[in-house]
Amino acid sequence: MKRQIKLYTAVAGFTAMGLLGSCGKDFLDLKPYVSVPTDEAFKSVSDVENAMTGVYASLTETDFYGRSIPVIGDLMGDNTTVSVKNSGRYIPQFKYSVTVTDATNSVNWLDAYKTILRANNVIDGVDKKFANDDLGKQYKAEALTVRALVYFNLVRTFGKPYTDAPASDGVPIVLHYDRDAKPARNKVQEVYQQIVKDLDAAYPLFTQEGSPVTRMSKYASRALAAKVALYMGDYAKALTYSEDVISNSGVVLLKKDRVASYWAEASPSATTPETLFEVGADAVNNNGNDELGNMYNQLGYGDLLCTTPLYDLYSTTDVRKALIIDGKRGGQRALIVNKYQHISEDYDNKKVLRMSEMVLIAAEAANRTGDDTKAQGYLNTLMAERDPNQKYTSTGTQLLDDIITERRKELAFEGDRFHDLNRLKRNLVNGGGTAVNYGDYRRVSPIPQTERDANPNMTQNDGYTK
Amino acid sequence: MKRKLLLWLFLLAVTVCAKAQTRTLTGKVTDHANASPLPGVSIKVKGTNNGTSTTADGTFRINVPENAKVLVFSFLGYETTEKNIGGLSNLSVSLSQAAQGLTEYVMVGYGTQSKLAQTGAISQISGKQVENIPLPSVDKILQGKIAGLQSLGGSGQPGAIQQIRIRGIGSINSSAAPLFVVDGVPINAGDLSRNTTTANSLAGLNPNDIESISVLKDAASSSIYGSRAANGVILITTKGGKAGKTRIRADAEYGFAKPILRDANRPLNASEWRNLTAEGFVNAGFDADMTSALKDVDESFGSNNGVNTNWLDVVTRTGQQMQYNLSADGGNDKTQFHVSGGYFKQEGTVIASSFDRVSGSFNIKHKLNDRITFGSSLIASSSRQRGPTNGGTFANPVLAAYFLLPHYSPYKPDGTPNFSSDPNAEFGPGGTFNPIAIAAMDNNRNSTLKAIGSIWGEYEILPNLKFTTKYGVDYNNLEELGYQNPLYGDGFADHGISTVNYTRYFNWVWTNMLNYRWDIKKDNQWVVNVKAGYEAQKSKLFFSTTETRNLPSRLDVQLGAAGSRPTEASAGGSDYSFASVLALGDVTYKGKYVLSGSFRRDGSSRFGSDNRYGNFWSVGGSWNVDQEDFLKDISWLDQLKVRASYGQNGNANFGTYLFDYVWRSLYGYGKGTDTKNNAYNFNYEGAVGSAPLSAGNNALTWEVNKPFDIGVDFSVFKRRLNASVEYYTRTTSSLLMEQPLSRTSGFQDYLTNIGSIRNKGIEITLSGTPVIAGDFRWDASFTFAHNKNEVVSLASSLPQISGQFIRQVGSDYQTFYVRQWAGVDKQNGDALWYKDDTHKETTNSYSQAKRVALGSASPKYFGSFGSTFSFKGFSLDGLLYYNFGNYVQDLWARYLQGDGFAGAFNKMAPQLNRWQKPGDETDVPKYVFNGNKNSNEMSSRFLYKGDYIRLRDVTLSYTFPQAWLNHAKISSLRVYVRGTNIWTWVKDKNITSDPEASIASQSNLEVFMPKIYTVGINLGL
Repeated sequence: MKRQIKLYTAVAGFTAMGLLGSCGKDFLDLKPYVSVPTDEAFKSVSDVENAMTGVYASLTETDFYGRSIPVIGDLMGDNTTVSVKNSGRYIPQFKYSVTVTDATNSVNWLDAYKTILRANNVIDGVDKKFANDDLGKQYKAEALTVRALVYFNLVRTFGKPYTDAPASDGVPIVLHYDRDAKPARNKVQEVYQQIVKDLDAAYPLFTQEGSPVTRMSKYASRALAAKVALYMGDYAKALTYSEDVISNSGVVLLKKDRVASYWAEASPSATTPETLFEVGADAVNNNGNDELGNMYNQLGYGDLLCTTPLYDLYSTTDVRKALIIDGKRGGQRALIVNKYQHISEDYDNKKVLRMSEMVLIAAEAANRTGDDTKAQGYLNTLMAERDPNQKYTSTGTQLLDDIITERRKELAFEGDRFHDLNRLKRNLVNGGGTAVNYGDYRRVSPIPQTERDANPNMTQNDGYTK
Repeated sequence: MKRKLLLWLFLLAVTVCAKAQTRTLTGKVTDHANASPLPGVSIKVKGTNNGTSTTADGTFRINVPENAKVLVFSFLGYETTEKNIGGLSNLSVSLSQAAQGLTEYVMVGYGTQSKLAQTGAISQISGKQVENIPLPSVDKILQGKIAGLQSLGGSGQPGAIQQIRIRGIGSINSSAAPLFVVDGVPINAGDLSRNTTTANSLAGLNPNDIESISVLKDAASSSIYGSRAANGVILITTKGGKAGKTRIRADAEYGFAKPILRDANRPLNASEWRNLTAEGFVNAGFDADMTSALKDVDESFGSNNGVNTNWLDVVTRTGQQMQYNLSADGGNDKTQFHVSGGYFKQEGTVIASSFDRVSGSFNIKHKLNDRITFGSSLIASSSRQRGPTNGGTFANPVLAAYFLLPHYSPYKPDGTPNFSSDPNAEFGPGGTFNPIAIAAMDNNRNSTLKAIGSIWGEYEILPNLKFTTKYGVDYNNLEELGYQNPLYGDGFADHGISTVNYTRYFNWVWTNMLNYRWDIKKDNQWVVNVKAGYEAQKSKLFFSTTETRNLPSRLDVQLGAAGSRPTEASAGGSDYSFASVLALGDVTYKGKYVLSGSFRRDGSSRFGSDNRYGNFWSVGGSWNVDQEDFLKDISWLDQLKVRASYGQNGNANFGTYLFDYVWRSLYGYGKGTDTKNNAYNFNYEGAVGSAPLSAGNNALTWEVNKPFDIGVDFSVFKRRLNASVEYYTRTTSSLLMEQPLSRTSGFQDYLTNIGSIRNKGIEITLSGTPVIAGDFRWDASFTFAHNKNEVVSLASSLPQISGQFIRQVGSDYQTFYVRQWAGVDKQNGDALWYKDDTHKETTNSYSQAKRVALGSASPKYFGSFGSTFSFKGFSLDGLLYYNFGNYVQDLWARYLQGDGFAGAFNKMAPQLNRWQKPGDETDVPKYVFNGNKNSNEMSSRFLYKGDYIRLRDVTLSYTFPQAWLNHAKISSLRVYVRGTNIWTWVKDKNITSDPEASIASQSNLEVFMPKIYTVGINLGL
């Protein structure tokens, strides 16, 4: 009997300790320390603000606006070349041998849709709960504008130009998160329609004024709309929108005595003119060695140099000539780009939309719609602040050529040239001397293999491994 | 009750009765090997239950019936010995240690088990086999020691992670590593560091503190570890004390380590590189002829300056190797102890690479009374590791060895390391750094404090019912410093970067068990052993990171407080927990037939909210054929056992320690590390950002593994030949897989339980003594493992492509999927690839070539062959490890054999065989500066056959004779010389890296594997 009592006590004790040991449900329901369940992510409008910040953070990725977009836009055009002494970066782009497995290209695609996902979540988050909240509206407008920017860049990279083949394959339009969707490509024109729709929706929604240029604003949104219209060949709209920005944004065109200091600033101050939108990088949040500046700066990799034909376009009186240093690299002459001067601490922001471009868009749009006087006016307004000895009097297609040349000179090393040449359907000879005529399949980037491996509905562009 | 009373009275009567006719016998029992007294030896009068046991000093006193003739002495681990006592009143008995066999016990989950009752596939090796080996961690030492256990390093960095796979690769995205259990505590193994290139938590465990290692390979043995057992369990038991005279041991070893290099893969010398580059200039159209090209090359790169540096010589070195161990153990029948201390040091084969460890252990056990026993054990160590970066980082000395131009000088004329802040200098701020300067000025350090300890108690409720409780802790504390100096290298642009990572893992486990042994009829015919209990475990990780830039312009002030610009200050944590109930047991009939079973129910924080608990089980049986009467007369047969098992266990090893919440769909804040261990940063311009971190899957569960095993163990000719042959098949389903997503979703993939993979194979372990001739003896061992891995099902019928591998049903999951190299066009030197696997058409356009499935990264066969030749005190040991039938991928060939791609860097010697003029037959394309039409892109050109044989260990030792030792008053003395990895044979003479690569079979410019030469002495007092 005694023995049985002992056994009973032991078993009871054992069971009691068991309960202590595994103390119920909480013991197994462990929550992470610095993240929250997705369904709890949008509880308040400040959560939306955080999520919107995350959208901008996505733009800063190395293979996105942080480096590759601005690099490739010039390298695959005719503005830059890769030095003989190089670190091996962007060689496929330089040699026009980008394959379907190219990492830069694949990550660019992923980064684009990652940004779109974040923007979609902000838009849906606001629509669900904060549609009537002023801050909610502002964030939604910002998200719509970023989404438009990203689609714009996607479609002009992975699709043929709207000005050439609007009915050809563009990129899939994704507006709401669906983990398992395998969308097919929308047509180029459908993508542009969506971009226009987003920008039109965003414009009236902006409720905040005085937001920093590293965030989207009403006139940044409008500036993008002007650029999109230009790329669509909708010149009337391009003119209206660019003039709206020029007249109403309150942003001042960059003056000639400020050009050097404008490019020497890593981050804008309250009095910085010109910028409508730029992608930020500061001393804490940056890509380190993978920052854009390292590709140009001779204290970084310094691989990318300005091409001689571009350098020779700047007259000696052009203030922009000083943004290129006629120096040496590895014992040979090198035209060193000096637009990005910060490769430590506060890194350079990357200009995406600025007033000079609006003036150039207005000039081109005016020319295209037959108003050469107006076109000359805009162009010479800019010239007065860049090269006072240069005043254009040309008209018609010659004036258009002059505007395009000035566009090239003004926006050099900011990632636009290649896309402009595509929009204009012009042939090009790149910095390595390779002639890539318009119509060459390589003028459109391949859909990444990784996307096609995961999504059977995704078609490949002509010329690439199918 | 009444009946029992009668029984007692009866017994008492018998005893009293017997007492009347007894005599007293005294004596002493000693160990035959070293004459030390043996306490606790059971002594019985043959044919009766009348007996006693020896006291602490090995003596005994027993009353025996006048007519008793024989005493039986038995003691665990020793041969049972019978002695005639006719007419004696005092006798001395020496017991010999038992040969391996049925009397042996094996370490199994939650206790020990006699070999007789074993139903599972368990390989056990003793501590002796891992002692005094010049390798830092026990997992490295296991290589070749256990059939079917694959242990691969891939880096020669001392203290580097070792990857272990038991019976093939049973997982794709979860860890396929086994669970390590040290003294009953499932530990956080693997690489716990955050900033160190490669580290290994097991390197903190001194192999000399290990008593035994048990590798549990099948369901019967491992399923008791439930959701963590799928890829095998490695039980490590540390040394405890033995009663008796205090024994002291001292071991010392010293030597050096040299890199294993292959001449064929040397970097080019200065004139080779210059000429090749000039040829590349001509071929690229930069120059019309070699004369002007040479001039341009010299102008661009400063070559032809009279300098010719072999950078491989510069970065490699002969490292120092040493270890010293001291231990003592002893005690009496109530209390036993073991203490030890050790020091280990290994310098890597590459500059600025080293590891050292100070360790200690303490183990005590005390028997309070007949019912209560308790004890405690602790092993602790402090280790320091210093190592370079690997892969494509500018600071990697191995990268530098191959990338740096040979006309660059490591030193300035004044003898100081060559570097400059001038971008046009040889070693300006950008580009591959001067490894000499980096080694001297940067510092990557990891200091790890590790402890595994437990306290336990045992209460004997009834003679056959025991309760045990044990609280164990596994603690790791890592302090890592990454110092990038302000003057040169990675820290230059920021004027110095100091990163400090603090990482703490506190992992506790509390186990409570009841053990019940039931001899049903008390006749040793039907015996039941049952254990049941529960276990709770929680591992808590805390980490913080600080980074400061802009440091003083000197090298001796390296911590962040001295800097002016804090750039990171972050902290975080990650935990996981398990709560389990478990039971295991076996039934034995007459020692012939055994049936075993186990059950465990695991709940874990790692399992999705829809699938929080899982059940795991096993059944096993064995037939000890040699115990059958019909075989008892066959004298040459010592053992014959047939066993089989089947069951289900799981793999819950998903996620990373830093982020153990993979099933959750999350929005992350700020900066951190995601499921794939990639850093993210959602902040922007000083504002806090949030973003989707993972797609999530609430249904995510453990991977389900169903192992079937059948094995035969036999031993013949007085144990001159022992063999185990096993066949296994295990299918792992519900594999945690990255379901690739259309990137348009914003994610690359999410984790889900899809697909299954099967491993089946055979393992053979042979050991024996082929020759004994006088004093000469040859012992040999052989292990062989063949494993076939096969993807059984995937999410869809379409193959999945993951990096260099294709996963498709019916083929090995590590099947390389690359374009096929078709050589070089004789006419123009273009690279050619086959368009498809018909091999009919070739193309010089990389894009036009289709990828095809080629061989696997996993070997078809691997194992070892060991021999020991002994003659008198001399012994020659050798262990050859072999690995056949896999491919190794060279990740860096695209640069080093780039045919001009990355022409500003040096190249490897095979580039000299390039095509030069029409008609040249070679496998190396025309050298065109900046690259020849993608010829350097991944294709079968850069896959090499991975077959190799390596002389893992060869030792010549001399053990001093006992007579001499007695004279010198020491109990044992042995001296030896040893070579580790000193010879390697490779099948593919073109292979560019060490064949001993990681599991994924990729070389990544790691610290070279060492060959180690040591001399040592083992002294016992």
